[in-house]
Amino acid sequence: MFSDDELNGWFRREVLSLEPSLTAFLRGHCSQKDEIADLRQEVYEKALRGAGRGLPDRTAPYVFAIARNLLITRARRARIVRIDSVADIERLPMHPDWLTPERYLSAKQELARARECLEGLPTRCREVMRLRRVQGMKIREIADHLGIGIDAVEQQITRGIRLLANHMLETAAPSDAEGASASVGKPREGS
Amino acid sequence: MSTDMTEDRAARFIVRRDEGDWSPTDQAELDAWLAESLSHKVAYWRLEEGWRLTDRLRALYVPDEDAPPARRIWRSFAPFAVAASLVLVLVGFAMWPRPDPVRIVQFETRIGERRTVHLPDGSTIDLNTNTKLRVALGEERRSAWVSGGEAYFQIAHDKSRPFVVHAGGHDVSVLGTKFSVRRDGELVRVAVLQGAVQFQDTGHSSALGSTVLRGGSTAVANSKATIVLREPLSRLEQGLRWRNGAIVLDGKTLGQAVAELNRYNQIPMVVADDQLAAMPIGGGFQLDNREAFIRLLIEVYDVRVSRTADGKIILKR
Repeated sequence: MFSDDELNGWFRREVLSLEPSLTAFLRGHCSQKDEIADLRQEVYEKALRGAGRGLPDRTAPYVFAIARNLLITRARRARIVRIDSVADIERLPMHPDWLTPERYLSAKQELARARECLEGLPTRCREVMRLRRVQGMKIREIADHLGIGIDAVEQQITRGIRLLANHMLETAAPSDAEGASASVGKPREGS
Repeated sequence: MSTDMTEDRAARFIVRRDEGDWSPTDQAELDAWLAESLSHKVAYWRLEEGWRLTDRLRALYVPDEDAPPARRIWRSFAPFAVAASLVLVLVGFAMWPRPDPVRIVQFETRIGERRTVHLPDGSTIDLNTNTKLRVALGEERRSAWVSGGEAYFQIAHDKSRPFVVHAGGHDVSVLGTKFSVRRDGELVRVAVLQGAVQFQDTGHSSALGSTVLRGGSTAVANSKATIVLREPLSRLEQGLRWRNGAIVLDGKTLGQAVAELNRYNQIPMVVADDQLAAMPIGGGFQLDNREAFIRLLIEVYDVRVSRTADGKIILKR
């Protein structure tokens, strides 16, 4: 049995770094797009439950096998078989792109990405989050500054944390982000 | 609790914790909540990690609030949405011999093979699996004979030279249009995607056995009768997905799907169970991935698979 700290560290480092490819995989095999977040949550739970008995040697194949089994169980319950929803799971080969940890970024790249996420938020939410995250204001200060209620600020921050976290985790980081023009149209190897 | 509600709760803990007046009581409340369920841990750890990744935003801090946001910098990262790889699709290009109007050229595909033929008049013909046809481009008429299989014709318009496809006891005459012809022995199926064709039973006098088929029509005929169906174009196009190596199985039973897939494989599958054969299925499928189709049946539907002495694949419950 592992301590929560160990599990937590493993989960953040190795499982969450798979999120872009895991999300893409679930999207590709599930026609109900609004179920993706629930499915992903279920995959994570199963992954953690299993890892509590012992960490897997290789995290990516372990996590994707869980995702695959989950999709198969789900397809079994469906009345009409959508062949495309499950057949290709067999092909789930461990595509090299899926296995590379996607989040090893330089500080500069990380900042650029976080900033892009921030700019993408809805207007009100972005304003509040800028004051919270960039200016470091407290909830009370933000409320005064914007002339809105504390509850409203709290609500926007809750929403902002979720949107930012989802965006940062779900989208794959550019693999080669130093020179913007250098990576345009560069074919990936081995595909 | 739904993922959405769990995530909301987790985010609220993070908001409060970040406020700075986080007390041991608060921590105890969080610990208790986390211990309640694995799903709480997943949601909380995940949001915390995503939130941590935005830590660096502090670096953007400028004491003067009116300083312009440095938009230009992050904008320059937009071009990273780049196609990951380029896929070149090479279409088999049949070399046409010297232009020779009376010459008859034969094209053939093996089981599982597909091929695109470009004719010198600008027309193209896609041959599906196990198909045999001959083509002759004459001065006054262009002709093709389908002796078996399925082909999709995109005929270049030429008023002075009608194009006639002969399929068993039926002729399809066109000036310029897109249509497919499938022939299984006496059974002929013609689907018109665009324009119009004249469909004729050569066993009858012209007035009786002739029908004009327009875009969206399908004619199914044997030596005795012809049935004409109207279908939405999208459905007709689905029937032509083989041109991209795929097949659409919507609205089919397993038995029908197996029959379709068998056209593309040397080794046939046999459904030895009526109930199984009637099972409704759907979806799209890559033709070269029959193995996955079979594995799916085994794994998801508890179908048992065996082989006969001559290699046939038997599917049973």
